[in-house]
Amino acid sequence: MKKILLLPFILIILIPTRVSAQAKVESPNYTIQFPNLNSGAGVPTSDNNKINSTIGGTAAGLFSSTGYRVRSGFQYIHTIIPFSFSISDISIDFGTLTVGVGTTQATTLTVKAGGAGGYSVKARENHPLTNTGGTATIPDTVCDNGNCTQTLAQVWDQVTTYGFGFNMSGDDIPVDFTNSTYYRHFADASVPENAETIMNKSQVTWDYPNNVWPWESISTVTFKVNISGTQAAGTFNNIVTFTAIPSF
Amino acid sequence: MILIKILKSLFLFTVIGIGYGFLVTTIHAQDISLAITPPILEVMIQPGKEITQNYLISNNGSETPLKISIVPFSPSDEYGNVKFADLTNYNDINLLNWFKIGGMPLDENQKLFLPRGGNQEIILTISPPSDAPEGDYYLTLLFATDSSGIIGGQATHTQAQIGANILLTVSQDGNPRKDAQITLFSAPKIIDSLGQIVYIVKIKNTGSAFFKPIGKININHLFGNEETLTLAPQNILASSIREIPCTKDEQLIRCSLTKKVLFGIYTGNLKFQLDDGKESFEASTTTIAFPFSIVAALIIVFIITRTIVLKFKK
Repeated sequence: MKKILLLPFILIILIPTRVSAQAKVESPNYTIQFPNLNSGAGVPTSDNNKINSTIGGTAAGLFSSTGYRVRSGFQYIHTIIPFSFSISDISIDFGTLTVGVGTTQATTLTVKAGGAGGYSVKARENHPLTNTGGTATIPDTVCDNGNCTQTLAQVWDQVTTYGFGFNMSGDDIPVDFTNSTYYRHFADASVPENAETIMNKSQVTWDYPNNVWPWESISTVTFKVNISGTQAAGTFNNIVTFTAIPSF
Repeated sequence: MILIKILKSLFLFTVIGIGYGFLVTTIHAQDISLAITPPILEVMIQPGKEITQNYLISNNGSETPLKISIVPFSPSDEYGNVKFADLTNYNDINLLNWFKIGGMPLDENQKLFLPRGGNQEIILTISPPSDAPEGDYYLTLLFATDSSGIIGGQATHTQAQIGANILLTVSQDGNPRKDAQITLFSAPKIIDSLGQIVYIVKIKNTGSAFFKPIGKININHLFGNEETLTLAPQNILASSIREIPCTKDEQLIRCSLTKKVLFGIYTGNLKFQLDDGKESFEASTTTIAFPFSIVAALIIVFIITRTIVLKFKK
């Protein structure tokens, strides 16, 4: 008997609370609030306004009225998957750096482009690794042959090549990251330079046979720092901003 | 006896404590995970009018402050990707003043705090003034995490920005000039039998407002049934070219024949209208399928057989 009485409490603890977004369609102030149409709830209409949405697309909608026409979501893909972007680490800690010993740390980028089909991720640093007082920097690497840039990866393997750069592996990465020895440096906002694409999926080029729903692209960014014997001492840091944008 | 009771109490306390810990304590790495919906908003609006659209931003990563901004963009390639443009190009019309978040003007310093697992509804108001110039405006609504508060250590700190695109057409009469040009409709001229014909469609927007092509590719073959491919109605922005894939069963696919070609002439006919349905655009291309591989294999077999026969005759 006691067990039966305890059962509801156990269920309350074990079953997570689920919060659902409230469906809302308003007129005449023209507010569409994610009408919940994916269960075949029907298409709301009125004399002056019409909302047309595809079944299965929570956020998809078409609104028309005198002086306005609004569509949200992709009309041809009936998906309820939002566009999402994840970075596995906020802070990439290099610890204490040793002269001539390259230190690497990695983070993972994950994109679910579901409702968008295609996407791009761009990256840019606010400035090169700079010490706390702003008096010294660890320069961006130019790789072993001196030719790598923010748009072109080159081999960075020698211990006598110094600087800060990154390698990429995984899905949808630029083809110039041939293997784990190829590095670029980040575009530098302080120059200023535009953010450069580091992940990209175009609808017409992906590998359809191996496509798995939901479309999820995962890549690894490996940061590398190598300092010279003349490097000023100090604590160096910077911020790299990754920007994920769905295709239009 | 008392000792046993104390031990029992301690045991129960420990078990309950550990169990509670397992149930409610979840440790996460310091990560970032943002999601946004809808990923695109398409608006045609008269100057002086106003619309609102609700966005849902979700945070599945560490608690983070979010900054909201709007940045103009232009197409970066032929596949629908964006390249941020310089906002100063729009200084004369104060473009950002057309937008409000939650009824308030955009403020770079305003931050939104989202806990792990939190969702926030964002109400975007778009209200071009009555003297707003007619034309298209392409923008991205950006949500950016802020890592400036955790600066420290020998480290690179990461920030994430996630965006949703806004395609805004300002028009007095709701009928902006829409026009298109087929810049490429191609397929292999000659193909080996049992191969697959892939059609490439590139369309240029020569009008003043973005549009979606609504149409099909019909493929005729002398010895088979006609096959139809449906163009994906993707947005082509003004003065840009976009490669258009096809769509089937709610997924984007390459524009290719589902069946392997056999022998003969395959004629692909592209026909589409703009989303205003006023004008049709057409193009065609022809592919000759010939069994090169089979013929080559037969020739090799023939040569080998003939060689063997001749050898035995000798």
